[in-house]
Amino acid sequence: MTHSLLSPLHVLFDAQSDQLGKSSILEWNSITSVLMGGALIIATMIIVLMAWVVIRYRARRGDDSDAPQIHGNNKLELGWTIAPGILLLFIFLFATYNQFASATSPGAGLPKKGTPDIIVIGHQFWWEFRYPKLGIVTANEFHIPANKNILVQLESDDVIHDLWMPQLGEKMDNVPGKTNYTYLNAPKPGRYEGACAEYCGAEHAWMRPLAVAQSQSDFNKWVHQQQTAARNPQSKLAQQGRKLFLSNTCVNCHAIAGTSAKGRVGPDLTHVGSREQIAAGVLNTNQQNLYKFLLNPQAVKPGILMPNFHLTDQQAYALAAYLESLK
Amino acid sequence: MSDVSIVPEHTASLPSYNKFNGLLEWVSTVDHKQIGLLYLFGTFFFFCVGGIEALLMRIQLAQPQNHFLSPQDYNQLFTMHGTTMVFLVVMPMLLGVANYVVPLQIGARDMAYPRLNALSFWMFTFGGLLLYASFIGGGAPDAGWFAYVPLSGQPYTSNPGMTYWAIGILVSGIGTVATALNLVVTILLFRAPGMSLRRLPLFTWMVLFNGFIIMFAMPALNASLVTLAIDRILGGHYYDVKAGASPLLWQHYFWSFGHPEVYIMVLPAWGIISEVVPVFSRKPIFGYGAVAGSTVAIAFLSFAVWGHHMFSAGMGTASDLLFSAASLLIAVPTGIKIFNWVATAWMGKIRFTTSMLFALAFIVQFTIGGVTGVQFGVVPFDRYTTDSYYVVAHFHYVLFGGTAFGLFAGFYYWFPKAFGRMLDERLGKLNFWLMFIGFNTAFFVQHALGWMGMTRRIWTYPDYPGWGVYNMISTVGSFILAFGVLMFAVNVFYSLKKGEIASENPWNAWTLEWATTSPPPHYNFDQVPPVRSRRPLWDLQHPDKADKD
Amino acid sequence: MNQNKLGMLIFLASESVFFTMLILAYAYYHSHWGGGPTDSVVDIKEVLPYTIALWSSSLTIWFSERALKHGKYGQMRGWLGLTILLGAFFLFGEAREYLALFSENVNIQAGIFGTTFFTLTGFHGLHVTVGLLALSLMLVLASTGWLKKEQAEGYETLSYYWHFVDLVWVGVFSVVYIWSLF
Repeated sequence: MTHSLLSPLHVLFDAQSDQLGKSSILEWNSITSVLMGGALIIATMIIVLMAWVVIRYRARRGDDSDAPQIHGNNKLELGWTIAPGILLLFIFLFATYNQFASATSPGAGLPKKGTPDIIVIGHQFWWEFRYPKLGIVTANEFHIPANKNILVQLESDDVIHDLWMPQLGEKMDNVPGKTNYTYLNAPKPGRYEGACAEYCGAEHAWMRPLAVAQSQSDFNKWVHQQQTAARNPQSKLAQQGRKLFLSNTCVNCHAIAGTSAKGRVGPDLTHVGSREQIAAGVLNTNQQNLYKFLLNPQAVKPGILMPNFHLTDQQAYALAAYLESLK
Repeated sequence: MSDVSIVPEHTASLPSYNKFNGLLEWVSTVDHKQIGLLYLFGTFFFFCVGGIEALLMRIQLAQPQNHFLSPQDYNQLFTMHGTTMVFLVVMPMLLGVANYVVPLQIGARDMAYPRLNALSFWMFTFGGLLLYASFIGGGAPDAGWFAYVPLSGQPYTSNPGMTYWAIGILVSGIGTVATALNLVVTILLFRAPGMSLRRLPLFTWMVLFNGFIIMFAMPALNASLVTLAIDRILGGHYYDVKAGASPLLWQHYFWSFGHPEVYIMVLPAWGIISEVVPVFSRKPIFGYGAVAGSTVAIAFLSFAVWGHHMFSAGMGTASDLLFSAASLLIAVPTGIKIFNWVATAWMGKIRFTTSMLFALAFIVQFTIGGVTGVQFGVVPFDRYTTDSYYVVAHFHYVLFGGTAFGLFAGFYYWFPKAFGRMLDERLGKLNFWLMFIGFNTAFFVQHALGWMGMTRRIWTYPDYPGWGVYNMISTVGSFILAFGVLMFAVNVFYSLKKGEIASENPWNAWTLEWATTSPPPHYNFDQVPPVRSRRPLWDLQHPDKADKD
Repeated sequence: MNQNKLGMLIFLASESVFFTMLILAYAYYHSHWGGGPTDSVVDIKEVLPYTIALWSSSLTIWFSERALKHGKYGQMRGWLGLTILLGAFFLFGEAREYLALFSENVNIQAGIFGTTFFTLTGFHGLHVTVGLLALSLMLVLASTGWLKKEQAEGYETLSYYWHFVDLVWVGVFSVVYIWSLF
């Protein structure tokens, strides 16, 4: 089953994070339901009241007289001071209870459990995902086992970013020089799209992470595939591309496990062909799109830090074939 | 009394700006009324510029994967839009109204320091022009209006824009501090005999506390700007992560100004509503003490809530909860005001003038912005919705649906006083309805977009289901809104020439500014009427049932 | 209350927020100076005489103010002159300290310490300079006989500013120099 980021009001009715309403707005053990319901009721109440007052007490045509001069009413005013106060106290206690009761709201500090499952490093304008326990490095697309709390450590290599997976959990900033933590939890297998939520520069818009939640066995297969170094390509064109890649400046920024390419400035490309999208969400991965991207990255994703290398048609084509083969 | 007031020659007191001498007199003026109007002209100009920036962004966002603007252009536009609206429109526009109205409301001849007042205005103007000079000085700022480091630092910006930003805002910020100082001293020392602090008109009361907030919040901004400028120009390391600095320092710095700033941008608008609603309901304000007292509470609390901008920055649970509690608490005094305004209209005899319509729309829209504001005080909720279009919708409901509508209520209310002619009511109604419909069309759907996962400050977005449609609705709304604002400009031009001549007190209002000619003479009052209550003109009109307080 | 005094007091309250922010930044980074120099480069013994000079100038300006109120113009000029000398002596000390630090390559670009230290002391020094200019103007006005008993309130307003500058130095001295001992 595929999830697009959202169909209209999807999150409102189907938020999946612990704090945000487990499955339905009707489920009252959810701070979101209380807040949204409460806000809706209170705003509607005030607006309807006001509408009634202004219609009921409108001046009739030709009536120039003044209204009865009422200066106030202490009891009433005390009432609308105390009542909202109690309501807000209730909201505060409820939210605090939620925050502490929830196992998945670590906020700033590392929970006692220890090593994170994934270290997410924000870069201008792509995501690096490192699995310290599994020895996997990937970019922009990451896989997780479904229905499991994933402890995520958030870092940044340059400016502040913010990993936001709307259906999987709260957002937490990736702050350079500081580590934050959060949990992600995908309720069922599927695709979950996300975004960078903290403005980070020119291509803040195209910094879209993709989470793929899988059953444990599928996830294990993915882990195994990711742990394998890149194979040498079969086709002649792709072999040509490999040679081009390794003999040019590509290797200064990109890494491909099993080759001499060890750069860490740009995304790890070891399994780039297996990822669904390139350029952090701009295009789907296929040879044609890779070719288009390599020919002029700035045209595909204006503001991307990868320069235009002015490759010839033939070079771009060969490189695209090679990258596409990296499954 | 209003029914026998003499209709003045409407050009009697202000020099004409059509003549060179007149223009020179405007430039060199130290009269609070002229400076107030200069503020309003200047800020309205910037309002149009900021509005055009917004429209360009809305065109870009009307469709998914649109290429009307480049990301670089878009980022400069939203930075300039936010900066312009906050620093060059809302705040100085409110100060402009205060400049014009406050001395009149308290029966003063002028501000305490008229020359300082002129200096403030020109600092605001030059600060604003310096900011806009960045467009020809290598590129506009592009790190957002709250300029988070390290993105706003030298290594991550491609142009000198952020340096213009820091210095421009600093210059206009010093001007703002001077104006606030001026207003506070004026209100504390220059009131008419009999006008004790407890008898201050509510607008003046709110301006007084607004002045205090500015005096204590703006220096925090100025210090932040100084540190940013030192980093950018002198190669300092306040925010250099590699040297061991912390980006959170800037966030604390900026928001300890930035959240009081939100109240700076709304307090005087509350004051306007507290003047307009009673006058057009033909009743005194319901619970003067509660409205005035809650303002004081807000002035203090506003300095304790800035951390709710940082719930997802990783401050730690203790700070999170503290700021959450304070942020929820501040909703209580805010709620009091809304209830008191509604209660003021209750049992009234409501006149649906354009000014009143804007005030009523203010109450509706501010309530919506207020309840979403409460939601942001709750940590887990905030971590979900922050930096999404839900926030964008929220603060536009507060700042546009709230403050800007309040300002328009004020414009329609005080225009006759300032220019001696009424603004046309038919054009006014058209102006109001276009703005009301346009505003809500443009911004209500943004709540939904936020829920659907649309983050703010993105120059384009993938074609997710519903996003394109909602964004298109928002864009259409923004153009209706712009058309509404255009109607206001048309109304002003039309009414300045052809508007009905205004009497001294066309609305039959009760505060002192209505006890002098429209427009007032340079020296404001021939004679200030005696002040024995909060409504001196009511007492004059109804000596038999004068107010007690 | 006198309009100018009230205005000055509110202005100074506002200024104190500005300095509090700069002091907080310094304190926030204290002991986390990163790679650059640390506060061990400052020497409390060096600045102590200048500090005492600045603080005693608060006393001398108060004497001059009293003299003015009583119409003893000669005395007033004497105390005012001494105040200016003390203030100038402080600035001279600050300049000496700066030059010594520069020679050790400690400047505003030298790590977090350099940036926060020079910003904080620099802005204080700037305020002292402004105060000295204003006081010198007063001395000129007093010598030409313009500054009379009747202007005592205005002169007092200026003295508030001078006391404030001294007060800020209490904060700066504590957080920079005394803290450097620990």
